[in-house]
Amino acid sequence: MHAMAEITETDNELACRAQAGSLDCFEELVRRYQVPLLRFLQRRGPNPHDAEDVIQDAFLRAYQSIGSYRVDQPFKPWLFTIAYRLSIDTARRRRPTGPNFDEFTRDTDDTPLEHASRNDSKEHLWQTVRSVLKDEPFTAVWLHYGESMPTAEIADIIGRSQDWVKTALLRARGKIKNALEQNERASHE
Amino acid sequence: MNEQTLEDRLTEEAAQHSPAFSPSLHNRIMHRITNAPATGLHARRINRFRPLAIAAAAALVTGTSMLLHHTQPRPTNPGGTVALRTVPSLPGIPNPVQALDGPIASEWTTARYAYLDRDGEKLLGYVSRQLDFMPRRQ
Repeated sequence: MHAMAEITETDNELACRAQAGSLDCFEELVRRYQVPLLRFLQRRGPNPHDAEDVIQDAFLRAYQSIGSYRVDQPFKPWLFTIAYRLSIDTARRRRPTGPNFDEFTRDTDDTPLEHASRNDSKEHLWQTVRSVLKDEPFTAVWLHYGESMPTAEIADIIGRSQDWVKTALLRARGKIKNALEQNERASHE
Repeated sequence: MNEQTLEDRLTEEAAQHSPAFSPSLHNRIMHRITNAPATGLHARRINRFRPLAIAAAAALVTGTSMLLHHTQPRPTNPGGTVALRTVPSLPGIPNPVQALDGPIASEWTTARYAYLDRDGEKLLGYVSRQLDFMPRRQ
């Protein structure tokens, strides 16, 4: 009965009670955000196992620093900010030995598109998006369309201005359209 | 493809390709949280006050040592004799003890800038006569 009552609470209410020491409330937040956070991290990084490591670190970090969370702010961007920064740290640590990291950070107009064209039948739209966008623009696009976040929250997570996010989204849409059109042409030929 | 179609596709396909909720991952997360060392709010408060505590401890140690230094009686030598050490006088080098005794009378009067010392002496006497609280120079 008590658990059912907790599930109906908002994120901020749960976070507030977690600040007061309720592990059950924090566990409910873990339950709510495991899938969206894992999906976000899997999209960002090349290795799904890294995403699982990062999500554990992210929730642990969030629990340890729940005291610094401001309850008048939305919980989701706060949690995503922690996960985003941890994923960047993980990528930096693994960059020298990471097998495909460069593939996901290049912003050229050739190789990723060729790669996308070659695997067009196997890949879906978001893999093409990942291959043509750099890390930050991809994160902005994912958070906007995948998580339905407003630009203000995306700007907080990435650490950029709202104008930067709006511009990044605009340019990203242009690049994605070009890539898809190029894929279509390649498939016809 | 127009802008709206692209945005709809991005939203739809983001929702389609989503991992399922993993109970094992949930358990691993909670296991790490419950077994993590205490670095929560309480620990953060401790860390915040740590520099202050170190500074207070350093100030306490410094103050105590200074207090002990000033209150301890200085070592005395009751009943003992003080042995004066003789200063060796090297040939060709004037005895430094004699040099510290004061100017030689001849230098007091004949040196090139001796008038500065004499004028200074007069000025000091003049000032000391004007101020009652200053001891009069002999």
